[in-house]
Amino acid sequence: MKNKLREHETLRTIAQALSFAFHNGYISGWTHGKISNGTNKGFCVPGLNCYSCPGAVGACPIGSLQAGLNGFEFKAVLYVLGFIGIIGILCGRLVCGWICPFGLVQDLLYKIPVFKKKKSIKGHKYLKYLKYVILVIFVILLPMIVLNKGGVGEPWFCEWICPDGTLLGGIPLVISNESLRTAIGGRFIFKMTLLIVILLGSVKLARPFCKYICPLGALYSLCNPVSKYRFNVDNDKCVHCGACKNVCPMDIDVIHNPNSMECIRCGKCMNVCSNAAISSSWEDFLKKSDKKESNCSFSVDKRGIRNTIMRIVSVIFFLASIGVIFKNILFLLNGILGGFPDIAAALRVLILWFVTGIIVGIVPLIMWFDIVKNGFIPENSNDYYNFSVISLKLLIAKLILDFVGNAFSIYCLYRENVNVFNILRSLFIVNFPDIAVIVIGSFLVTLWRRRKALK
Amino acid sequence: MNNGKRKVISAILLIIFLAAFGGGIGDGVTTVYEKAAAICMECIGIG
Repeated sequence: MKNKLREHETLRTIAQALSFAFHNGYISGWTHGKISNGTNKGFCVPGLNCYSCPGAVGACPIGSLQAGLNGFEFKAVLYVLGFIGIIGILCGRLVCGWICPFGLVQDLLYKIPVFKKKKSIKGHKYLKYLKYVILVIFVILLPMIVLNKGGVGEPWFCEWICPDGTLLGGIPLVISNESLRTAIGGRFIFKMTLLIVILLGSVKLARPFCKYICPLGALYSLCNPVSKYRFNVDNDKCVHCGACKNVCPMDIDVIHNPNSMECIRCGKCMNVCSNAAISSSWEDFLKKSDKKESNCSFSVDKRGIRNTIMRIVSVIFFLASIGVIFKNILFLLNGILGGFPDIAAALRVLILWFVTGIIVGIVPLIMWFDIVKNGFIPENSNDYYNFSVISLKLLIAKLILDFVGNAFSIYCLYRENVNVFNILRSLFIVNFPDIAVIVIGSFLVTLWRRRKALK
Repeated sequence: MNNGKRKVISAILLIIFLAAFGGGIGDGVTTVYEKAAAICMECIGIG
């Protein structure tokens, strides 16, 4: 069980690190001491990540909510609350456990083997409600009521509490921007002190900020009891050993309250349970599908929905194969006619786009012709499934190779100070046909498998 | 709360939030952008 838990925690740390990179992907900001001002900043990110952070690619939902409330911008409030609500109803505090950048900081600090670890402090029972008080007073009321000389409210939580703004916004900007360094005053010292207290607290205590302070966690926690992603406990399997309660960083009695408002869905309880008594709604869904599939018997029905769907899949892959080949021929022709900037660029196009594109495009094409030659509907329907899966894998490989091939272009554009978000957007547009085929193909194969299972 | 009730509440809330998000997205994004595209001095502890 310990190995399973360790593997799970490694996976979670990787997910958190990737999310941190996603939230703070504006690399130019880190190096030049400025922040992104692209249109992407109008869109909220799911985790608590200060929009004044030099790497921030999106807007912090709590900062945005205060911005809407202090300017009495009704539509901004609707937009931000709608965003938080949709995420909350779909996955609850899963964001806190797997996505939030400041959650990663706290988790990493808690791993430092210095102090004797504690899961909660005295008065936890009452202190856990402090985050709701902070939400109501500092995020909602004060920004609306207390107006400055210009008649506009201020973001009180960001100004006086948020440690993320100090850690990921204030410190990097002050280090890299000389003009900001001269403007440091009492507020910065106060916020630095608060940050140090929270960071030191995180070494001793699991997630103190999430437990007692975070207003975003408070909003998501309101959705936890009704969210789509939830935990279930099988009382027949549970032996009441208490392992889940001992491992829970939020100090929850998991067996009695698996969907507590405090639960950050880290999944430690599920992985420490030796009897697999705790499961997530996602796992339950997969298990149900597998159970149905294992009971199914195979029969060939040439007129059935299964074959109709697989015909569509076959045609999509046939068209995709042709499309991939043509796209790569066009890339090569474009390079030849336009004149490559240098020999390295020519080789890159030739190897990564043309050769891999042709291989990935031709293989499914040959398979498709083989199926046509041996009868469009093979006797064993598994052929359709295998064909689709192989084609999907090849297309995914092609997509990965495309991105690898474009890494050099990203580097060149980054050197020219082009916004990373714009680069990624261009990459997405270039690779959109492949992505679309993979998504549609995956959906159809899944649909077909489910149909097969139900039968 | 039983599972059926929870599903109904969850679906109703999801519809409400989707409607709020849809209703606010145009001007809301512009407002958020105006705030988020410039450094908030107070937020980083300066000023």
